[in-house]
Amino acid sequence: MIREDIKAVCSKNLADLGMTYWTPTDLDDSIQDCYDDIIGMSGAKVKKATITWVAELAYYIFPGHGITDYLGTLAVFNNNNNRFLCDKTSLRQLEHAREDWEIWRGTPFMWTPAAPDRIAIAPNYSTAVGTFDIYYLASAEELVSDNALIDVANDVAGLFQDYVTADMLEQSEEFIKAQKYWKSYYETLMEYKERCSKLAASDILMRV
Amino acid sequence: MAFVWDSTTLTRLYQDGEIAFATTNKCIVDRIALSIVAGTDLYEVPDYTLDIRRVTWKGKPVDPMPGKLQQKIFDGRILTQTAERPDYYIFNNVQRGRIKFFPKPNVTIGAVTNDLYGAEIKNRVIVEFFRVPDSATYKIPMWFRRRLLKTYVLSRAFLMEGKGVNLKAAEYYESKFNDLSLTYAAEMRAHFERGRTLMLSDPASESYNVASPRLNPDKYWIGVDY
Repeated sequence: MIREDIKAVCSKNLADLGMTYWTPTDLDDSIQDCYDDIIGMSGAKVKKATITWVAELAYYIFPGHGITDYLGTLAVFNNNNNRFLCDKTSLRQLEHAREDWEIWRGTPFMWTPAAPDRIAIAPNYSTAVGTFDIYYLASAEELVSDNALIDVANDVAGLFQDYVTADMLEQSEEFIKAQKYWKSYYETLMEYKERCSKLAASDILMRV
Repeated sequence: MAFVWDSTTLTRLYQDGEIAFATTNKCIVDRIALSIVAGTDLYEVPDYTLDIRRVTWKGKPVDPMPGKLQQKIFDGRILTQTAERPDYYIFNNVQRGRIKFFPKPNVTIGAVTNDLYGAEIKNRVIVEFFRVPDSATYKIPMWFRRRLLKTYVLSRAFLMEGKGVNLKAAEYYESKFNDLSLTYAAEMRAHFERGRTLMLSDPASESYNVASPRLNPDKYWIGVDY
């Protein structure tokens, strides 16, 4: 599915094939917002990055480590000892375990989310060596051309049509007409979100 | 082509919307190091501070003062106590935008602006806080930013007296802004408020469990001769 296909269908929905009332820029921005929304809400994009350990660093703020599309962490794998870090903790539990956990030195074995753009790792190396892999949920990439490939399942292409059509109708203050498309969009989005979260579930493996 | 609203107005509304969301759903975290002066217990924090999340004194936490202790603390005799490391702080209840330590620190510690998440934690007095976005460096998450703020801008723009006033549209977009705020705030919190329990969630992993809560020995233990 490419951006040009979505624009063609939406223009047909809006009876604006010449794109005179709604400009191509309006549709491009709307498609991008829709893509951001689908990927952000469903968590459909999972990526892996390798980051170098930094001595005495308690928090890894990912935009500063080259990950600009970071949404949330799934897992952290220490390449020094080939172990996943424990993900059962929270900041409160770290506080209870050891009040000075931010200056706790040792081999890292726990991580916890700390803010939308960072995680806390405890303990931390006093002398940094090696790297760790982070598996994270990524946000949607920017679509820069009409041939840009949109990375969602083909059977939910209707999400884009519903969103863009509703968005453009809203822009023209046709709120009642837009509601039908919004309803369809949100219902399908929630199904897609549930589908993405169950992709690796063991129940599915047993049915294969 | 003449526009109903000028770009300056729209930019202002965009920034206002971002502040409105971040104020209700605190998500932007920042840190500063305080320049501690011996004998001074009252310090100013930046005016973009919404709420303090954590205060550490050379890596060890300083707790927010419990309400029941405040009346006791403000007795004139007790205010003279000093210590190398305060046990408590009060924020905003003393003066707006001020943090007060108790006991009063009797050491001087300088401030820096770098490495506050790493090597300088053990050397500085650090205040971690939720802050107001500045729409430049500190922003709400980008994946929903434009879509959410568009609804806020429209809700406010349609309210402005002039050619573009449309109360029905303003009400529609205000309702949409509120709904989207709730949705995106919940989604955002799902990612950063708790651990994932993907890797270690079975009984075999219990050995990784951190210790049970315990009282701070510095504050609550006393030695007993036997």
